[in-house]
Amino acid sequence: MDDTPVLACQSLEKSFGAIHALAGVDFSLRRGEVRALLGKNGAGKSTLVNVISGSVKPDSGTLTLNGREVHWDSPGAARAGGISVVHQEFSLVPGLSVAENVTMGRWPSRGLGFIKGDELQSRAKAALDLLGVHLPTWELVGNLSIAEQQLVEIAKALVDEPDVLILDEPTSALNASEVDTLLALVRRLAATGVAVIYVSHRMKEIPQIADRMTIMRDGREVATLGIDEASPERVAALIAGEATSVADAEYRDRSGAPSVLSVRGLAVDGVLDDVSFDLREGEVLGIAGFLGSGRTELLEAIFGLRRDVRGQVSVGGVPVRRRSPRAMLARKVAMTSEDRKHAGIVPALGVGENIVLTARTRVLPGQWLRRGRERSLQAETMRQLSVRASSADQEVGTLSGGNQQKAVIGRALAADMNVLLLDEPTRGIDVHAKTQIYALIRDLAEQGVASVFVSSELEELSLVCDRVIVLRSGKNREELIGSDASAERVLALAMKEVD
Amino acid sequence: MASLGHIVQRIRAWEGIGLLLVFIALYVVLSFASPVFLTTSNQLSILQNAAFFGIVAFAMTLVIVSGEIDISVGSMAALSSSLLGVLIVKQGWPMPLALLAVFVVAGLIGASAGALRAYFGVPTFIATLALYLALKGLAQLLTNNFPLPIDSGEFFYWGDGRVLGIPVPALYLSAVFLILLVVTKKTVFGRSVYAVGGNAKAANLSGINVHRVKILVMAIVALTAALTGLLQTALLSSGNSTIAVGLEFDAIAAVIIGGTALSGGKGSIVGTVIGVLFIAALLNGMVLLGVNPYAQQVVRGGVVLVAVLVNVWRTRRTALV
Repeated sequence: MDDTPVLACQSLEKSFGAIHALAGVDFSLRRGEVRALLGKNGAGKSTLVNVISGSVKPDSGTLTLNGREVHWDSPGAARAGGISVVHQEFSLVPGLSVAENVTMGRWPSRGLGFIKGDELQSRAKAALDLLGVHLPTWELVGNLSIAEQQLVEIAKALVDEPDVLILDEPTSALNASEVDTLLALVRRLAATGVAVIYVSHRMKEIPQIADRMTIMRDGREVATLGIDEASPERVAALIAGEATSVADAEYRDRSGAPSVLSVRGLAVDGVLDDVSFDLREGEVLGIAGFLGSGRTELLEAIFGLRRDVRGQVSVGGVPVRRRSPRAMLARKVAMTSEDRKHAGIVPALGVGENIVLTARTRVLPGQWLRRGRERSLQAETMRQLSVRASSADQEVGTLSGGNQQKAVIGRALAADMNVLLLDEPTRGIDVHAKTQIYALIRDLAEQGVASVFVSSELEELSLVCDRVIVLRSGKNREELIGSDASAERVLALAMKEVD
Repeated sequence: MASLGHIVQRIRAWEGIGLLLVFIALYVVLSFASPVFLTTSNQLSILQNAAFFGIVAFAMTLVIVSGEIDISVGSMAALSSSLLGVLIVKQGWPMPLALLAVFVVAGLIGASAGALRAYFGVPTFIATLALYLALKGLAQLLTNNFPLPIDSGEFFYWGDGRVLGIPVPALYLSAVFLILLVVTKKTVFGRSVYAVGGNAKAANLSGINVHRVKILVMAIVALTAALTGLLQTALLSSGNSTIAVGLEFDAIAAVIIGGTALSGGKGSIVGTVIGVLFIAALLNGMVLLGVNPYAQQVVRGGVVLVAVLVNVWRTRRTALV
């Protein structure tokens, strides 16, 4: 490994509105090095990756590749310049062959646009050989397994012979043996001189693959450690940072209260493995876990959005068979999706109408709308949630993320629900709105409404939850009560190696 | 790892054969039901009739694979026929020039539907729905809705004659099939159509000109519609604004029966050729058996519904794997 940096970033800064995503980041990478990049949500990892790979322009600071300062206009320019990214979402075309996908956009052709089939095959083969994998180049990508598709994705990034390869959570969709194959392959690549940035939080993989790790927090690089000096406890502490100044939720022991939602042995092949818990009246139960731990799938399984679920869910002691959203709502259990834009709000309807969608025919009477009743319910809910809108008629799509989220929670509230399943309710909203939402959930709990609060921002769990369950590889592993659920504890448990 | 892929591959191959088996079964049933069905002259007439929607169906495969649709092809064919009649009979243009003009007009109209999609985000379903009415009206306006008899023996030969006993339209059908087969399998443009339909965002990031692909597929399908209109003109020896009614239905039906995914990104010209022959044989068989024409329409619609259901069911199943 030679010591001259192939890539160097100096005091990179980037703001999105009021959010300072990068606050002066220095980062450098040596040829043939594998560097793990860690940090919680919003620490600035993705922004750094996006700046390096040309999809986001920095406000200030410089980027130096192979000793020369570079300014990317587009991801294409960065690719041509020697930086390739493998994103979490697949960018493959299922109806094209492996070879065509690997070389997409660079298909060699002669006159009249005829593809030089042999050259296309050999280029793809070269990239696959570099990876050291054997895949049939003529096979349609749609016929491959997820793990094989991931390999195609990486081969696609290698076609331009990059100096720097960025892998963003490359193992989140893979099983254990596939992960081993991938790690071996990344090591092999690094041995050929490619520098690899490996974005991950899986503490099990990182020592096997990385030479060093960089930890980011609040838009800064807080530490770069050799892999042997990085104990999980130290890393967890660095990721979490100092304890937040906001007061933790006052712990209320609800273990004596009646169970409103009881989950027994919930399982989905490859995703959830025997999850059981009881949610008590007026309790706020946190579910902690990283991407791929099965958080969202758990809520979907409870709410009847999946058909491949085994196990039992009871509401108020009565088992619910053939679960569906309508069946669950009828039992006063509501869910809000993490995907607020696509599965939460109806953007073109007014905020008031968004709020009463569930309440109609449930709390509000019959099939004919009663304007007065609707209006007063809308006004009451908006007041209770302190939604900031010019009127109930303002299109919800034009509101801020925080107010949109309030409208989504308000929908459950207006329909007089007893149990809320909240998937990442504070994603993408500002700090002020977050504290309002925490307070709201606590208030509702005082009134007896129980919530399951799923979050990947682990430090917020202790602010709002009475109890936290740590989910790892689809299983509920540990339970932390009240103030035990500090961000650091939760983080260390969530990252713990598979037992 | 590979075994799973292979199983899926086998299922897919089997489903392609499934369509072929249904097609063969249709042939067996019809040949027993009607003594005329398997005769050479009847088979040639099936091929000739297949040309009148099959040529468009091949281009429609590209359109649907790219994630678009064109429902204006019937009106485009009628307009082409009417325009040719007007240019030759009323304007006295020489035949080659008139033919060229018809293709240029059709290509430009098709390309504008593609451009509306590419640059202004107008869905092709809506743009071509508008064209469906507008082009039809234009054709009737040009001809006053009366046939314009065209006198050109040579022209008729190239549209309605026979070469070595094979009807000329069947030759056009084969030629367009072969050309588009090669285009989809061997050219950058052809493969780009699949990339755009399968994942437009990824295609764009990979440097494929997504706009150009959309404009080109819409222009190509318009050109095949014009060719179909001209073949009908030769058959009827007149420029006519009432031809090719329902062309869009048979063309799209053939593509769907051929297994092309309505969501785009997947499909093949080979599948479509089986779909074309299936519909042509079915129509021919129903006429031979004297099925009530209204009942024929019910059967055609039913076949398409079944094909879509099979298609959707197949996509669901592969999605689960």
